[in-house]
Amino acid sequence: MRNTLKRQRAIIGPMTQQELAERAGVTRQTIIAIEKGSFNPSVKLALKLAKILKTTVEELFILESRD
Amino acid sequence: MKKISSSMLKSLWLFAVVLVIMISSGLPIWLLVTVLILLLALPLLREITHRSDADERQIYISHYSSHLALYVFVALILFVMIHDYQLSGTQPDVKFYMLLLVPLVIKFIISLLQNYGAGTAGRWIGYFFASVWLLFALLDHGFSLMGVIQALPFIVLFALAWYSKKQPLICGILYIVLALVGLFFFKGWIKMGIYGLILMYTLVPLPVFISGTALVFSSIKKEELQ
Repeated sequence: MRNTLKRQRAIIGPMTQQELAERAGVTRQTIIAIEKGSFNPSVKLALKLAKILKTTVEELFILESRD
Repeated sequence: MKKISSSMLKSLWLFAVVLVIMISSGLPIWLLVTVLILLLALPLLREITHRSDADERQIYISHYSSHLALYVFVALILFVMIHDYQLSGTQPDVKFYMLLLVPLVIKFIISLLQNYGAGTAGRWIGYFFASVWLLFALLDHGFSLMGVIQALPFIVLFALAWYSKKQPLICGILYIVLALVGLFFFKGWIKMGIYGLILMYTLVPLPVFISGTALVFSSIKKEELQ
């Protein structure tokens, strides 16, 4: 699964990872891990992130053929 | 000032626990136990309280590391058991079986409850433990009168597990009663040390009690939904 979190942060703000983390109620490390693709967020967190970045979950997270 | 994250605090906490254990040889035992209880109680309290604000990745990391730590613990106990056996040539002490089996039984029960829900898990815990103990009773005494007498509670347990699909509430309550009987049976009739007692409680009354509670809980929940 790939994601467009970094791009969406740039579009909306720019918003830093720390700001996004604080608004989503998680740590900056979690945002870094999601952006790197090493951690898949829960549906709840994905919806929260999409809401904060004023986009949809489908725009933020994209399934790849190997998933 | 930069805010200290909860994961950092947790790491410092674990470091403090390790440090206390490392310097424990120089401490009086009562002081060591008090300090360790204090150090271990707070994270345990945090586990059982509502954690809606917790970072899900940190929870994942915490669970994953605990999962691996459990297997390391099991491997260490096995190593000590084998090593002691090689040195002394006698069967390992009952405390090693207790240390080995109690965490694994707890993991097994929690996994079943989480995976299949209270009703199904309650039934399968009943089937599993009744079968294991039935087998022990038969291996111990064979198909003799003594074997049948010893196997009787587990035949009842097996029948209750089978019937619990139709009557979860009644079977659940009977399970709890059986567990309490087991509790007094092991305390009063069988002479064994504290480690053996903990092991027996974990292998018989505890799973039966959890199974009964799960069945009662699933029955109440089902009634609430209807």
